[in-house]
Amino acid sequence: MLLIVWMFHVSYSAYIRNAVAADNALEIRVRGARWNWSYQYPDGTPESGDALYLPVNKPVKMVMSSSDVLHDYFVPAFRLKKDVVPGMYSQIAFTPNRLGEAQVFCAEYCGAGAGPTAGGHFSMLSKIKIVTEAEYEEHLKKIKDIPAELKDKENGTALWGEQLYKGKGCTTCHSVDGSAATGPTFKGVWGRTETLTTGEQIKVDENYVRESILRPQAKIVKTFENGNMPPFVFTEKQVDAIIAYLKTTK
Amino acid sequence: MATVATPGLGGKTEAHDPHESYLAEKGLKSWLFTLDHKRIGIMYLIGVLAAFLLGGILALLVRLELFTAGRTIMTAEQYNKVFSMHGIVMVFLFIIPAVPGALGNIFLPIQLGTKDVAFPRLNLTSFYVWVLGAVFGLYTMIHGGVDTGWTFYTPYSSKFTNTSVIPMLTAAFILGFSSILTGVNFIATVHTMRAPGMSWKRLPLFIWALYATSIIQVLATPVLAITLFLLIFERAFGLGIFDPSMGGDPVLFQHFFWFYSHPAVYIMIVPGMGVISEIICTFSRRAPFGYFFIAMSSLGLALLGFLVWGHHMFVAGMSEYSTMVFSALTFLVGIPSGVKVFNWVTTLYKGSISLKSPMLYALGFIFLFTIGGLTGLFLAMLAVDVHLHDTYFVVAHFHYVMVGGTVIAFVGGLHYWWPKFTGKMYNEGMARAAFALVFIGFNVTFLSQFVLGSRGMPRRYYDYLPEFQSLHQVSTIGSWILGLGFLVMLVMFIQSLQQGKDAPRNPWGSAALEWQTPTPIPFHNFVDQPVITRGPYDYHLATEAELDEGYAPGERPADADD
Ligand code: HEC
Ligand SMILES: [Cu+2]
Ligand SMILES: [Cu+2]
Repeated sequence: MLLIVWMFHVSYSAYIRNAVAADNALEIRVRGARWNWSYQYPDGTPESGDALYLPVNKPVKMVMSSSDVLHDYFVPAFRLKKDVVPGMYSQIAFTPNRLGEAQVFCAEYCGAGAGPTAGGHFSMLSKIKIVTEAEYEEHLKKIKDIPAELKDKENGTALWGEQLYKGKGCTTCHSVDGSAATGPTFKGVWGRTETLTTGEQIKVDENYVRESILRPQAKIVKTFENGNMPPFVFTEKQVDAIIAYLKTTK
Repeated sequence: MATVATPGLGGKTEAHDPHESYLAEKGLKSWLFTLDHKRIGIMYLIGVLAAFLLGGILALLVRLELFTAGRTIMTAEQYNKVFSMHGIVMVFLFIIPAVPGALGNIFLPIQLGTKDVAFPRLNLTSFYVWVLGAVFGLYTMIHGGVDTGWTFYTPYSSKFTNTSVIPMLTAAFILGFSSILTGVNFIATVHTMRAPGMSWKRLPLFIWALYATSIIQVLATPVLAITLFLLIFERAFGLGIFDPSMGGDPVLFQHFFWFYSHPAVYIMIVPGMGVISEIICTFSRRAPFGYFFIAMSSLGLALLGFLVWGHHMFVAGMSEYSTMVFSALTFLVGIPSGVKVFNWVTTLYKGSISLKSPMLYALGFIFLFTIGGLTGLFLAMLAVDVHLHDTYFVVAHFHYVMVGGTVIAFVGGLHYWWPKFTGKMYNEGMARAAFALVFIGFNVTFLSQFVLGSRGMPRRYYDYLPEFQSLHQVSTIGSWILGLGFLVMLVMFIQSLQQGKDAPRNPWGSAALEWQTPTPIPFHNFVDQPVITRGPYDYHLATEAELDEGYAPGERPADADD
């Protein structure tokens, strides 16, 4: 009996530590969408789902949401786990205290796509990289802008757009060779006239693409009603890069 | 025989010779329209064993797919369906009805000293409702199955998956009714049909367990029915109760679901505990230590079971206070479970133990259930659960409770009562070999999963990181040993039916009432209405004749001795 009371007490106090964040905590937005994670740093800079960078010894608070089904952000190395629920924010707080890398899993079953290459619950993985404060700043600066090696190229912006297209998971739903997928193909997308579910006709231009990426549910292309494109967080420059790229996928 | 007698409905003409076996009448019709609880129990038995076979094959497929990372034999979509169907078949078609529906139906009236259950027609109805549910379930499987897991969490199940969720929910809905009907029937039977002299204090522990289970079934299953009903409406008509984009709450579904499904865990395990209590008393030839405590702990589990559903949702986003309360209450569940294990072990102490196959299963149960229960306490610790929740640790934990507990108890009960209701002995050597395979296979399969889980392997993953591969392979190999064990057992039982020796009245020398009636059981269970003068475990009051194992000199099977 005493043992039980002790077990309860120890575990409850540890649990509470991860529920309450320090005042100066770094606030990271985490979004789950089938079957990718994505992040946003406190200054609004978006980060791809591959890895989140965090400075060591700084308290962190994660504010998490889902745009489709239940997910769960699970970091075994930190003994952390929390459901990510559509229509609600959930939070976890922790302070990484060692440099290195931690594996992230989705721990709430969220289905799988069709076909051998499609992702699923099992592929909804990510990493947390714990780095020094200086490396963290450096990294933030880097992702905000076009990669250095593309900077001076003539069609650098479009190439960066292509990298984003491949790196942000757009490939699972959009092809560039005209083949059918969950979303409309990007082959010849620029200037194409789309019929929306409302019956309205619209020409694909800068504003339409921008809206399609940031608020995909605003205008929905007919016959793709069930595709459920998740909203993406892109900086202005990144949206520009995608636009530049879509102009080239003829 | 021209007329079919309707036992339990007084006033009808007696069409049966009191010594005639309930198995005497032949023909399919005499089975399908029977109102005899023993025959209904046997039909249940065949049904749940078929379900177990199906669920077992699905389990082997799941393990086979996980033998290597990436694709082994199926795609991710197929995998999701197979593990979902495994869970649904095992939970709704097998484990919930297994002990009450099959063993309970056959032995509850006999242990009470009566002719039948209180409502024989309701009993047959509940079996056919079960069949109807099973048909719906099989129909769904043929039409592609579902991929939601047996938990049907929203909004995935209500909006996102394109599999046949509605027919499957209907199946579970129907099966729920079957479970309620059995529960009502048992409660009424225990209250009104006890033989003269069968006071509450003389009730066998198996009856206490079934009684507690029936109460949970009657109280909790309607909640499941409503939940599934709401989900069907949500999916079919976009009701919006669980859909956040329409102002609903997906977590609400989890509350509803676990409000049934945690008590359901006790629907699954408590009857198994009852079986174990019987076996232990018979094979240590002793009254149980703390009869009253064992009986009351069944009721205690039934009650506490209703208060702890939130422990499935520690990471689901409940408030910190509710998680605290649920964690504390969950620790309390450990108490009645602990009482049981303690009392069983104490009963063994100084008993004259005979290690026949039913007893082996009972000892196996105590061992495996204790592991299952202790790991449950880890999971009740909030901070620990946060890490282990939805990993293979949880998978291993509930398989220790469900398979190591209920299935082992069910199989043990089958070995124990088999000679009584089939009238045949089985090959004890083969039974022991099967036990060894099942016990080893089970531990190899699931001990490795405890390790996997504590290293962070999440459940329901089609693919995994390379560092998990070797443990997954160990687990898959374990599943083959386990499967082989069940196969040997199946062959043994079939062989027993075909060429087994006729069983004597009381092969285990038990003092319990069901062993006092002839083998095979007469149509009305007893030749004359029994009058109860002592409890089922009162070995010191039982006469020589009652405890006599009933073998003619030299007839006792050689390998039946220890
Ligand atoms: C889960 C699948 C999915 C993913 C991932 C996805 N989309 Fe989409 N996308 C769709 C669907 C479905 C539509 C059509 C319905 C609509 O307009 O919302 C669409 C429409 C679009 C359109 C409008 C195209 C047209 O022909 O009207 C653009 C532009 C677009 N997506 C860009 C992107 C970009 C850029 C990415 C990656 C950052 C991306 N999408 C990722 C499913 C997806
Ligand atoms: Cu997920
Ligand atoms: Cu539970």
